[in-house]
Amino acid sequence: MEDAVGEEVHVSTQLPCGCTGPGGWIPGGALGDYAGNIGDFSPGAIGSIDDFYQAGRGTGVLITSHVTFDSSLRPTGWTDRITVASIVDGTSNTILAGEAHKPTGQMKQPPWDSPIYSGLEIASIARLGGPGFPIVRNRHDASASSVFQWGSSHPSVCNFVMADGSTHTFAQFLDTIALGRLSHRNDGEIVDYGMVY
Amino acid sequence: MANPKKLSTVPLPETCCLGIIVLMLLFLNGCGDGIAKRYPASGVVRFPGGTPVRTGTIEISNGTRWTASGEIDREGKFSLTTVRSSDGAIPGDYRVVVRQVILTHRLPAAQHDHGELVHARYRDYASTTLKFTMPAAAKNDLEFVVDKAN
Repeated sequence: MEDAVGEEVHVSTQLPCGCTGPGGWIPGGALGDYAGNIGDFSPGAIGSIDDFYQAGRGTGVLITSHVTFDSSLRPTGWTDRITVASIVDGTSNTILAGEAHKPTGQMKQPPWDSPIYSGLEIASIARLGGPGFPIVRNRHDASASSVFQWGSSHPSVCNFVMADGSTHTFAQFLDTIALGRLSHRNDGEIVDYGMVY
Repeated sequence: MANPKKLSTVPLPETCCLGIIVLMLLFLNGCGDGIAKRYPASGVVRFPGGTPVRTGTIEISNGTRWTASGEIDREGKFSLTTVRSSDGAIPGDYRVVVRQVILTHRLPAAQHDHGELVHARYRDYASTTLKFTMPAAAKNDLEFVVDKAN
C-alpha cells in the first residue's frame, strides 16, 4: 500500500479517446500500487452496456457487478460474482491482480493514482491485458490511453498474483496474446510459462 | 600467506579479450539494447473513403514478444514503438490490431468528437484482416485501411 490522497479532488477529463469533458470529483483515501484484473479487451469499449467496464462484462476475475437492493433501496449484495468455478482456465493460469502502470510524476494524481477502494474510476481499481494493452514499456508514458494498462517501476518486469495465490514476475515484453490469455478467465487458452519470463 | 595481486596488474587472457570485442561488435550492430534492430515506421489509419481514424492505438505482432504499437492522432497518424519512443519495428511479417477505448460515464457519447469507430474484428489478432511485411528499410510509410463499425 502506498500513501493516501487526503481530500476529494477534482480531475479534468482527458479520456483515452482523446476527447475532453467536464471532469469529476474523486474521493480521498488510501492508494495502492496494484489493481485487479478486469480481463482482456474482447468485450470492447464503444460506449455501450456491453463494454468491459460495465457490470458483469469483464472477462477477468475482479470485475464490476450489478448491485441488488432491498425494498428500501439499500444495497444487499452483488449479482456478478466470480467464483473459483468461474475461472475455467484454472486459477494458476489466470491473473488476479498486478502492478498498475502509474507514470512518473503522476503519483497521488488522480485518475492515475486514486483510492484503491473506489470504483468511481475504473482506472483506480482495475487493469486490462491483451492485444492493444501490453505491459507498459515506458514508465514515463502518461498518455490518456495507457491508463488501463499494467506496468511497473521495476526495470524490465511486472509483478502479478494469480488467482491461486501464487506470485509471478512477468517480463515487461510479454507478448500481448499471452497476456490476454492470462487475463481472460475462460477463453479456453492456457499459457506456456516459459514464454512469460 | 599468499601475496595478493592488484587487479590492474593481472593480464587478460586472449579469450577474454576476444569476448569483449565480440560484445562490442554486437552492441554496435544492434540498437545498443541487445534487442534486434528496429527500423522507423510511421503511417496513417483510414476508412475506405479516405477519412482518417481519429482515435485509438495500433499494435502489430509477428508472433513474438516484440510487438510494436503507436497511438493514433486526430489525423489518423501514428509512429510505431517497440522499445524506445518511435524506434520502429523489427523486420518481419505482422498482423495488426486497432483498439479504441470510448468511455461515456463522464462524457455522454453525443459530446465525444473522436469520429467513427473501427469494426470490432480489428480488436484481436485472431479476427483481424490487417497484415503487412515490415522491411529493413531506413524509412517506412505505412497505410492501413479499415472498415467502420456496424
